[in-house]
Amino acid sequence: MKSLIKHTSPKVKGKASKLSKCGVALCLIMGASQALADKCYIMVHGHGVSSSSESQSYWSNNNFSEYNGSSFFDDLLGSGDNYGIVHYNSSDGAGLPYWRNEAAGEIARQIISIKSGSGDGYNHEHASTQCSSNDDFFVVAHSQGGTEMMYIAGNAVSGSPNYNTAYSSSGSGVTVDFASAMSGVEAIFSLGGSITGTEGADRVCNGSWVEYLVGELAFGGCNDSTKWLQTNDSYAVRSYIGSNLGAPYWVMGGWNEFPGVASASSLLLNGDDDGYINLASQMSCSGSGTRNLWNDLKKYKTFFGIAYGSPTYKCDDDHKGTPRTYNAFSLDEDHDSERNGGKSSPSNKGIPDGLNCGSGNMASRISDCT
Amino acid sequence: MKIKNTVLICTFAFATLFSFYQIYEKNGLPSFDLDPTDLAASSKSNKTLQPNAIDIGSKSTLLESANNEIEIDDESSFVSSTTPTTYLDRIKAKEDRTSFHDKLITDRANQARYPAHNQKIKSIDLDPVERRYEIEERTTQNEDGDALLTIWSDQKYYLDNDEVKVYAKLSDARGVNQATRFMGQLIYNETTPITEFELNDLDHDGVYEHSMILDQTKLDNLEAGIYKVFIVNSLNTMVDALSFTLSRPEMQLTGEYREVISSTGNLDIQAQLQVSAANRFYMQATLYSSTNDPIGVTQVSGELAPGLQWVTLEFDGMMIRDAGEPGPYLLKSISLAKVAMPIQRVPLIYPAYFTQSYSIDQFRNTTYAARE
Repeated sequence: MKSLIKHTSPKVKGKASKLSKCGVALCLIMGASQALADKCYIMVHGHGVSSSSESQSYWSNNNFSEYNGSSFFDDLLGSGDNYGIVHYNSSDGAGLPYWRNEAAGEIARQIISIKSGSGDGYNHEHASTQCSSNDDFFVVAHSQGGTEMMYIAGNAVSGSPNYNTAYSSSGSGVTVDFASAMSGVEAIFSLGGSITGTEGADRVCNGSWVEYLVGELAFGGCNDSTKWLQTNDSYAVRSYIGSNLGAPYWVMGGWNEFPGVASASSLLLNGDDDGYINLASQMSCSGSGTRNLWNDLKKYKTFFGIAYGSPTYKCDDDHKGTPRTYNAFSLDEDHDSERNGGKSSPSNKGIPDGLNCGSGNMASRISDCT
Repeated sequence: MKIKNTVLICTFAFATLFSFYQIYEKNGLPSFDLDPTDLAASSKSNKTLQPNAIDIGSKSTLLESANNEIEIDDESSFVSSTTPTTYLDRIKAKEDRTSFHDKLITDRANQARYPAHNQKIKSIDLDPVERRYEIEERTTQNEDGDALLTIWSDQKYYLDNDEVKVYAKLSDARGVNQATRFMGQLIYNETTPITEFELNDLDHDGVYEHSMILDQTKLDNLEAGIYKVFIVNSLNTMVDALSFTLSRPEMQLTGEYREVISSTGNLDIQAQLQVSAANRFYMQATLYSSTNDPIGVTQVSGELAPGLQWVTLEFDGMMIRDAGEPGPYLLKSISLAKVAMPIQRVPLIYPAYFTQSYSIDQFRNTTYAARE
């Protein structure tokens, strides 16, 4: 289990306190309890986090000064909304593949704990934002967090290949109650998820020509964690889940390069990407995770007016590589701004079966749409 | 005094609300949506769903059958006198639903229709089992954007002694194949080199090929697991790698099948397996009509002991009725795997097994949520 720096008691809901005692009694007698549920966003971070404090700061941290002072929560949280932060060790030092007990297993156990109203163990900078057991739960996952949530949701349904099972370092199955973790979760939102891996991991593990920018910045060599984030189907999480998910899964993709010199990383990835993850992978499209979606999502590159790369593919809800997976948005965000809300008004490219609710960045659209 | 006042206020409030409640009961309004999934809860708590409930869902239909059983059609939502307590109930009751709310309502209705391990297949090209075995064609472009390297193998999963065919082509930005030399290297588990080879274009179509047999007597260190084939060419520095899995599942289908309609109105097809070692298994199977229209997919997993074993593939009765075609039905494909890391699937199996003739009336006509 995680070791956390600070522990706080879960918030005691006081929203019924203003009602008279007879009002409460009335509800009890009539047997119809009017729910006063708030929204609870359960936050699952991405790759490269080793400590619980990093997990907490993940959603406001940044790699680029352009995003200084931004926080995902500023745009996510409306009045009365709560959140719970999940921590697992996604660092290259730990080198944990997404299916390990210390990764997927740990995340599932913490989701169960947060849903029970036990709090996430952190002191929130936003007052009274610990989740209660009667909240409405949404999971928000970024990058590798999206892969983790796909593994958990895809093995939360009976008959799944790894039903309620993660794995230890020796390869032995470890029972984890994925079904309980997904029970009562209204939706999962994946932001820039490495659902079909990332070509950056391919380049690191394949020792390709210019892997430096993508490889060394994002990954610390071809460790086990990186190895299982490659785009080959042999490693992709879609090969390790069943034909249904324990909760509906909405994908939000980014297609802008990083600011400044780091924008070069996009040149090393096929088709659209957010600097680290190919858009086809973020949107969990069927087919190769590196394929070009230019005709579906954004007119990307042309050569003397001729679009090149893979031919036209569809990536609507019927053409996902994973079940119960739905298009949400494809926004002008990079992999960093996706998690820290650094861009307030990224443009939105209309996509088949996409949502039309909300505005602004990924955080504010989740807030508006839910 | 304070207590007395509270009692008086409460009494007044109860009386007022009870009056409203009686009016609502008499007039049958207003009330709220009830999700199909709540049928189970309602049934367990002996609540009565009103047959004359008002249907306010735009796409919903509420049918009353001869025996007064309620059938739910697609995005069912209907009125009950239950106060909405779940997120789903509340968004259903909203007039200003977002597009996310609408999609969530549809998703949940679909999920309530069949058990979670059964999924309808909308069309042949969306068959999830076939898709799992689709060839993984990978295209990489160079930095300048004027060259494309495309590589693939003829399958993603192989057994011992199977032939692996590897393909590669290099094309310019217009898609014209280029003449070059391709070299390949087979590596096990990212670390262990197995063999090197050159790909050849014997028919001069610009697609270079190489085939090899996964023969343990000829290739050293041929363990079960993930293999990569690195491919480079002589025209530029582009490199990419395809991957495949060598499976040793320690179980195989014998080709024996049997079937029964279960007491709950589902079609259960049992498949016999010969198991040589205790392992966890995973099986997906698709059911088609005799006219080759897809019906649905099922999945099952669990532990198997050595010996002859029967595994039940359950196809939901409502899913079969929804297809609208009578039997016989075709058990079209089976994906069998030993569950491990990495998973060891066997190449896709086509049993060509047809069931007996059935009328769709022999299958359950209620949703899974209602049955439960």
